[in-house]
Amino acid sequence: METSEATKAPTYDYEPVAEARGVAVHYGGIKAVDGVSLGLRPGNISGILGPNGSGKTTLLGALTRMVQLTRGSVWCQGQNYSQVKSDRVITLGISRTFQTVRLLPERTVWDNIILSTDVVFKRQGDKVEGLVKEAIARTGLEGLEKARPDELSYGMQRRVEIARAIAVQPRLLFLDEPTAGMSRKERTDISALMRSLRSEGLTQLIVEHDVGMMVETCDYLYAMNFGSLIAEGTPPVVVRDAAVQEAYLGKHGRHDA
Amino acid sequence: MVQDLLNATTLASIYVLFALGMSLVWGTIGILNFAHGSIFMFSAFIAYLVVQQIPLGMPAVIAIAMVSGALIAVAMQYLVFQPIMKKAKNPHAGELQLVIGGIGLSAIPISFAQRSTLSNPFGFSAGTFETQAYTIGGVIITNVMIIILIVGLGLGVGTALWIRNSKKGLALRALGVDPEVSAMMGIDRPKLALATMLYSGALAGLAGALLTYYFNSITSESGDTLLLKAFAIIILGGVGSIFGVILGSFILAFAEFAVLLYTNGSWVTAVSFGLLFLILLIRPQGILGKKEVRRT
Amino acid sequence: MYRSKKHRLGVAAVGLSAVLTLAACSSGDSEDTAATAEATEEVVVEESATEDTTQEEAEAAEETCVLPPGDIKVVSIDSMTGPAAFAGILAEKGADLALKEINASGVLGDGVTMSIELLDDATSPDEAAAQFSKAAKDPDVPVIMGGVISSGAVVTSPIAEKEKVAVVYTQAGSPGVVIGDYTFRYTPPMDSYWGGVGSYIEEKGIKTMSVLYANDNPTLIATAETALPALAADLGFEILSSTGLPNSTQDFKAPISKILKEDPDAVAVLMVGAQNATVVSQMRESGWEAPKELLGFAGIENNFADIGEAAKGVTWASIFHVDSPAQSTQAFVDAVAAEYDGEEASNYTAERYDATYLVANSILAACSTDRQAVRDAMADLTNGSITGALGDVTFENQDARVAGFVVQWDGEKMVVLK
Repeated sequence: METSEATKAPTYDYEPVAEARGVAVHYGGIKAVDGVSLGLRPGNISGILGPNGSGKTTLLGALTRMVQLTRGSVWCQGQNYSQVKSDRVITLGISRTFQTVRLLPERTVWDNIILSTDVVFKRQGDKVEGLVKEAIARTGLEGLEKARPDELSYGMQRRVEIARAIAVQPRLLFLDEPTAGMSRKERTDISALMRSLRSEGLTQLIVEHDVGMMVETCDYLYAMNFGSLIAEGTPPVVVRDAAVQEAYLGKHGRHDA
Repeated sequence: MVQDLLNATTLASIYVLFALGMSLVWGTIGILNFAHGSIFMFSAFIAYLVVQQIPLGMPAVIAIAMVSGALIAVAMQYLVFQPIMKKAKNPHAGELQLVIGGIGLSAIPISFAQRSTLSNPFGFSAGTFETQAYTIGGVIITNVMIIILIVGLGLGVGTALWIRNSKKGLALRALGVDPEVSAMMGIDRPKLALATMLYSGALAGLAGALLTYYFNSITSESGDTLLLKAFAIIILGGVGSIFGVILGSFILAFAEFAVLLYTNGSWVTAVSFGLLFLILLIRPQGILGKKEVRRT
Repeated sequence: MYRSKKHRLGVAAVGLSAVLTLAACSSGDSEDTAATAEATEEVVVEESATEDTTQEEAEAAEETCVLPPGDIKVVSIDSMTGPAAFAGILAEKGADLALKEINASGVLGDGVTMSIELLDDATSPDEAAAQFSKAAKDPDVPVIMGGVISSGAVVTSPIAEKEKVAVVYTQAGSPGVVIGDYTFRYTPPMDSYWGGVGSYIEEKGIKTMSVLYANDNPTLIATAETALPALAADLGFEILSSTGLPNSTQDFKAPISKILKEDPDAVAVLMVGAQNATVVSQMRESGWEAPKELLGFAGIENNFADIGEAAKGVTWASIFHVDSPAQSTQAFVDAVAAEYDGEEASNYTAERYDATYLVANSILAACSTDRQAVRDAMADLTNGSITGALGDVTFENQDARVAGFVVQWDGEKMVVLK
């Protein structure tokens, strides 16, 4: 990994919960992410907007150590965690959900949620039980503890994923297309859930291409195209940005589903 | 008839003992270990070499075989499988390399044992254990059969329940279903992988010792024969399902038994592998295997 | 015709000299073997002349063949690894011993030696075919010694016929191995001597038999499906069932259960390796005891070390036994013991030992390393009876025949019956 200009600590007028400094992820000749720097605002819901293939999920992968950085570094609470193994990221207070539902099919909702807490809070049986109960309450899954994922609606399955991610009490939650494939009602519900988590102090970063939902939910937006950031700011500012309109809205029109 | 059922159940228990470790490793840490058969054989072979020098009883022989199996498996994991997984560009390329690595690895102990025994059968006759046969109501059962039935079925059911009900079992299962999500949930794959290989190796050693007692002798190639059957059993029952291993073992053992009892034998392989094809056609995930719910 | 006849005595002399040399060496220090060999050779000519040859041939023997000095390289393809390695490794010990004796005796002529380039077929027919093709295409290879596995031999024999190079096999007992002018076999096919068990079957009054055989081993298939039914027709016993099992079979309780229900007088066990030991011990565990009989086949004794007592009473026909009264066999047994740390000679070692002598004698008789000449000499030699480690061996269409022994496992080792 080379040190470049971009990896020098940028200054923010706030203490970022997590930072990408000049992050680049190249696969052979393909530059999925190419020099992105951003610092996540504490207590905010931030969003990364961009058309399919713009590199937003890869950036999320880089921030969770699931993909290797070609260049640059990732930081959390002043610590460079670019070399930390992906299974230790959760101990930094970073948790995530995935683009598609990835639950243990033959296990109950309870088992799926307890999975993360048990690993993180080893040998703290009582505490773990309490955390799972709390996560279930916060995501409105009461009474479904014994259900299996395939007995639940898609929207409910996504809630189980969110419950699993927040049960470890992270400081930062990444959500990869949390409302993809959902009905209007389910989307509204998830959006409400995210805002309620924010009110409890959880910083979140959403990757989405549903602009309407992003504008509705997020406090701050980043827009990506071809692996780079092309705009950032409050939702109204970003949505009106000419480059964003050109890259995203202009070319593809509204991209809701 | 009762005798045949008992004998078929014993054969099924043997299959369980052998396939259990292989299924566990495949279904959790994603390693289809083609060296499992040679771990099985070589553990028994090491016990054989020791027994040639010191006449030992069954518990000591089993202990030697289990420790040998565990050590060989851990060494393989540490020296070969783990580096392969680390270097693999993507999980699928890794899987293929692991299979090839396993096949390559298995050749080493087999060649060594072949050279050493001139491919003659070997067994524990130099030890102190004696097979005893008992006749109960016209049914003959040996002490080795009793041990195999108890240990095979006990470990099979025990392991299945442990995977189903313990936190570690949950973590292992998660690892088997989705390594990426597991990592995000903080599951330490290398550590669990090593522990799983250790358990699987010890099981292979146990199976090696018990089978040698049951068949009186095995050869350097005995592991490979069982490997193919175990592969069929795991597919039959469903990859990742330990109860599937038990079910698959019973299906294969009873199918083989029925074919051998009622035909002149030539069809035994065709029938067992015909079953496998049938399952793959009508239920590709295996009888007890679960369809993936991810990938919407 | 005259040419080959002229050399026959010289050839017989080599074979016998080897035996005599052995007798001389085995009692004393084996240092300075060449001198001993030289000394014995004169004796040989005299002895063979008085023993079994006509005056004409004795005169012919005095014409010596002069081969050009150098090393005659013979290729041997054998299973040194893989499941048949037990046979291959023992066989090559016989070849090494014979070669050592032949070169020490100097009988091939001044500055002429013979060597064997050993290629391992790893018990794989494909590997055997590949190596055989290479050797057969090399014109400098006068003759090839073939591998022990039938599945390989049935593939390599057509190559030998096509490339017109003589091949001598040991083991490789199935049909389809000795198929023409260029293929020879020094191990009699099992069905040719299994009949030796016939008198035993009659003596024990066996009227019914069930057969368990390996259905992926050509030799054992031929024995179970051809030789045994012929023997049954001949002796008037009935075969109740014949169960062919693949080499993946490890548990035999199902076929045994079937056989117990048939309740035959005898069971023939024609399986491979550890399978034999498992069948026999599982039969015993199921209560199969005398006067019920268990019959086996040559080589089965190698599988019994680990079941010892359980195999007691298993009876079979063998082409070789260390207690054979034949003088030539005893000399060989002593030589093996002297060369290999007191090792007990086996049939595999004996066959290959004799086959190696046949190769050397054929080259000497042809007085050439020309392939065709060597093959013609070999055909001529195998027209008569050859005495060696296996005792007296005759050939039927280039395929060996011996009387054989009926042997029985006594709990520790095999003993000759009667």
